[in-house]
Amino acid sequence: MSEAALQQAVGTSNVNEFLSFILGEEHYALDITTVKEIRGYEQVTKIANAPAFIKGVINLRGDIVPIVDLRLKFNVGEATYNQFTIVIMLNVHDRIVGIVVDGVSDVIRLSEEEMLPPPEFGVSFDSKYLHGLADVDENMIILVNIESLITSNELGLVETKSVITEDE
Amino acid sequence: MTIDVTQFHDVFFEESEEHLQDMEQLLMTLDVDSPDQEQLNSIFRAAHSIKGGSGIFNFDALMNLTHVMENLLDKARNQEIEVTSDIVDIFLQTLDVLRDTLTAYKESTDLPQDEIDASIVVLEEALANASGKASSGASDSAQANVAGSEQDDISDDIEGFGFFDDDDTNINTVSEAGVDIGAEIDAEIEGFGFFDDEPSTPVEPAAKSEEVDEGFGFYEPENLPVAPAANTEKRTAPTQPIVKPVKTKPKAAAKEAASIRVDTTKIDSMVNLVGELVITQSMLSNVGQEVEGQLGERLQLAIDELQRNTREIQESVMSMRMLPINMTFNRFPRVVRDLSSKLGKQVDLVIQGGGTEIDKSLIEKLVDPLTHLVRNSIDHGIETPEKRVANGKAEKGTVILSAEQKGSSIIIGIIDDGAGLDRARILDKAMQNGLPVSPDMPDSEVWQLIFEAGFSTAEQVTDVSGRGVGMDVVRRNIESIGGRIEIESSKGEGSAFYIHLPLTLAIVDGMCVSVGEQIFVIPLLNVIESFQPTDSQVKMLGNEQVLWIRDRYWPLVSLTQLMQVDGGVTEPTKGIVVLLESSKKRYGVLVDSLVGQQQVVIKSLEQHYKKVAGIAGATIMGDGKVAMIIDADSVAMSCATVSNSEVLL
Repeated sequence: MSEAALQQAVGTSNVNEFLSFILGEEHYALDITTVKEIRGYEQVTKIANAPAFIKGVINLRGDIVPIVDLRLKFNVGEATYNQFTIVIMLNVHDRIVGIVVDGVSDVIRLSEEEMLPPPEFGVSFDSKYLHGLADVDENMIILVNIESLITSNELGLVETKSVITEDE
Repeated sequence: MTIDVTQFHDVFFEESEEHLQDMEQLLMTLDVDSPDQEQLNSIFRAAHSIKGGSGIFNFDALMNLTHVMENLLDKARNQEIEVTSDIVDIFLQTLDVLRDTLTAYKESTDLPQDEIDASIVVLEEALANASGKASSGASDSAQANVAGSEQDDISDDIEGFGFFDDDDTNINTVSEAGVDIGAEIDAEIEGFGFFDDEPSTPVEPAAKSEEVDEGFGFYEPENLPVAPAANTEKRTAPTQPIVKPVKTKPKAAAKEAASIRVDTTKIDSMVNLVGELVITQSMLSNVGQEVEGQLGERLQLAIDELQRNTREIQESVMSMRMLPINMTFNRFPRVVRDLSSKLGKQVDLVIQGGGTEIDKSLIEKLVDPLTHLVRNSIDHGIETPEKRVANGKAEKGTVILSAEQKGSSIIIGIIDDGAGLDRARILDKAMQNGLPVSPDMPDSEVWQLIFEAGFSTAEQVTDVSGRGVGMDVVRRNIESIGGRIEIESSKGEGSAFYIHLPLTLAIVDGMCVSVGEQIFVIPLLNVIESFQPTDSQVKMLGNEQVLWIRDRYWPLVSLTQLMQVDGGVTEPTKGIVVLLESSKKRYGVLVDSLVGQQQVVIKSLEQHYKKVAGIAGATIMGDGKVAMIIDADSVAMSCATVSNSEVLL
């Protein structure tokens, strides 16, 4: 077995796994190691003075966890909530955050070479929250740097010196 | 292969700290007139444990110091020397040095070598002079000094160590400790209490035990009341003929046998799990109510059983976190003793209700605010003896430290019979600081002014009151643990500070209220009453609604507006008003209806989100939904912009 094939088989450093999801028309993917679980959308408890894209908090087996609707945050898709609405529970820096997306599609494996640099414009995400792009089965998939997004001031999920949300 | 002993360091540090604390407590309660044998033994054992541990870990400085201390303690417990309050003082000073040394080892900082050396010298001198025999090589050398009659040098040295500031304070130290040695003190100070004035008295190295009675050299013969007679029969009888009632049995030993050391995080995770269990159990009983027929009855019985068991588990787990408040209180005899002698005041400290149990996390956080308040009471409250006598009071002031449980809260009192707060001066100072005050404010509001930042009526900053911790910090500390502080004071008679604290931080007794679709929990600690207001009780003040009840106006906060909940009642007369009391002010909140009263487990919002204004935390209700717990103080702040304070007519 060649070195590369071995690496492929055990999934070592060169290959990363991503969970791809859909927001509106666009395909996104995030590092699968940050995903805690995927669950349906359930009734949230609202938080006062929070921006609209922070839907509220839910009880995740005893943890009080905030739910963010990325569709509202990035103005993509329709923010409807029904039994098919999906929440990806993420575990980033010991914090649990749920993100609402339109759907979860697949787990994809990408090697470093397959990851292309992110474009400067054309996607809803600021390029500083992106790892890059990938081309999978003729679809462009945007690789999100979910850690920097979740901890960013823009989402205001984490207490910083002065949290300025862009929600006006 | 060597075993890595560093892994045991933490345990050693922790245990040694406990030993030091035990020793301090025992020394403080030691009755010098008739020392309790068991207490002396306990002190000795504690010192011995520290010595043993520090030897294993090669903490040489610690070992050397405890070794000398142990020698002296051994003499004391074998009644070869008499325990005087001076000796107790030396031990207490040594404890301080030991504590610093321990901290230095723990934090890997520089050892306080000068103090260690100084302490060893003092201990060795005490040892050499107190005992006829040299018990170690170290004390041999010290003894040689004495034999050379270099008393002046020694006492100079000792004065140089700063143990005694001047004669006055020493008298206070001694009398404060409950010992009445009276006129001997002055004489003792000159010789550091161990020497006779005559140079002939220093004990000869060869002194036998029979000679000890004369040769102790503690006092001049005229002043010797009972000690020599008692000492002749050393080892066979207690030092004093006056037998005090037998003291309580060796606490330290009993404690060790009956307890195990558990990491607090383990207990905390257990508390969390039990919290989950409580929630699951209430979910079950919700479901159980829907099951009908015979099966439903059987299920209900089982659920009732579960409920009882859950409650018991909860109580016992919570009790694991509970410790007697004496853990905090016990440090104060020392604080009071040191401070009162420093300030030349006479203060009796009375501790009441030390057995009251309180959450461990609260105990740790209480230390600073309590220390500050007690120091304040002595520094500003209690007057000097002359002043007290002039005002027709007893020379000795009293500070009472009390704790009691009332319902689900603990009330801690710091009560002194000193001068009381000076209303006029506080108002003056508040005026200078630009605070909104009026001369006819009620006392209770005037007293609260001293908690404002930058507020100090102390005319000069002493090292007692100028430690950088203001009363505003005290209040903030208390509030951060969910408590509030009240003051009662009357001029010339004293003042009392009452700290109201929740029993525990993990669970709160709450009033559940509904607003729109959402449920909020208001801590019962803050609730005064709730009622449906009538039209005539609701008034408009400018644009704001206020309530007229209990002969005063109350600002009214609408929870549906504040918490941005849709569909809540906005007409006060259609909803329910809950009157709340926070440490800052009293106000009413408007809610839709009352749901019920229950204990809720407090969950942190900050763990995965961030702090939200007006919200103390969240909890999970019986149906699995999240409910927010209202933070009465922070809601009070948000209504502060609406109307600055209660309007008084």
